[in-house]
Amino acid sequence: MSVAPVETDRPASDQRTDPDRPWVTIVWNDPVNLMSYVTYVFQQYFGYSKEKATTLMLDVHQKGRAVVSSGTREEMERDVEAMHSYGLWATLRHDV
Amino acid sequence: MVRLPFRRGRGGEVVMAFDAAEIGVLRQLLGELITLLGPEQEGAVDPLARELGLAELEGFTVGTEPVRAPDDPALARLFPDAYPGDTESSSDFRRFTQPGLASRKRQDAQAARASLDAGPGRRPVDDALLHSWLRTLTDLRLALGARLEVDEEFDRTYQATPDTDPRKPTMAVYAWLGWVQETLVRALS
Repeated sequence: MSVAPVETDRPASDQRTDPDRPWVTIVWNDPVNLMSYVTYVFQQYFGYSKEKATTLMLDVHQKGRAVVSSGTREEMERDVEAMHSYGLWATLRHDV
Repeated sequence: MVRLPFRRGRGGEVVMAFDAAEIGVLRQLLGELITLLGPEQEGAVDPLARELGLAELEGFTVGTEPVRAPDDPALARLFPDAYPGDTESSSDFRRFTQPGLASRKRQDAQAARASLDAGPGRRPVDDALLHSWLRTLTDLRLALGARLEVDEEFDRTYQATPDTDPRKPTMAVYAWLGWVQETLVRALS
């Protein structure tokens, strides 16, 4: 999006890690994707409310990245693939 | 009133309206994107598996060779590493996802391009085609953005770039595509 990312030590999220949902999908800031589009994708794909989707988008935009979902490794690979199909820069990792 | 490329009409339907010059630009860009994505990997799917409806299953659709990140910066952005710092897991992820992702991106670009065949004018667009447009506009902007090395300062750089600069026309197209996509997101929201 259009502001330089601020480096943080942890993905920007106040979500607590659930031991049964040990993997997370992270969306990273990029200078191309529109803020409105990123919010729309979060609403469409995850079914998040406009408010939650906007908060996550702003985290990506201002903090450089945000945890957008958590679950099993297979579930997170599906989410990352979906984000790639929308052109969002997404990665997954085991959240220890 | 400004003619918007995408607008929600009074009846609730989303209407697309490009003029002849815009159609020319979009056709060329979509053609280049389809070329960039490469040919459909027919050989990647076992014909018997396809016949049996197993084409999506693990082991039928994927090769066994490691798949490295693309060298081309535009392709690398369209298909980013899923596991940063973990080459092996990223390669496995690519083997399983990249052919399908590339195929869907190609289909989006082809559907969008075909919808331009009717020429200039206002016409309603169904939901599936609108989402193809939404994704393929993103892919076009990501590819162009990688070529132009777009960063967070793009708007300022664009304004400061003289018209005589050979990059200026491409920058103008990139900026225009962003506006087109914004009207589409607004029409869908």
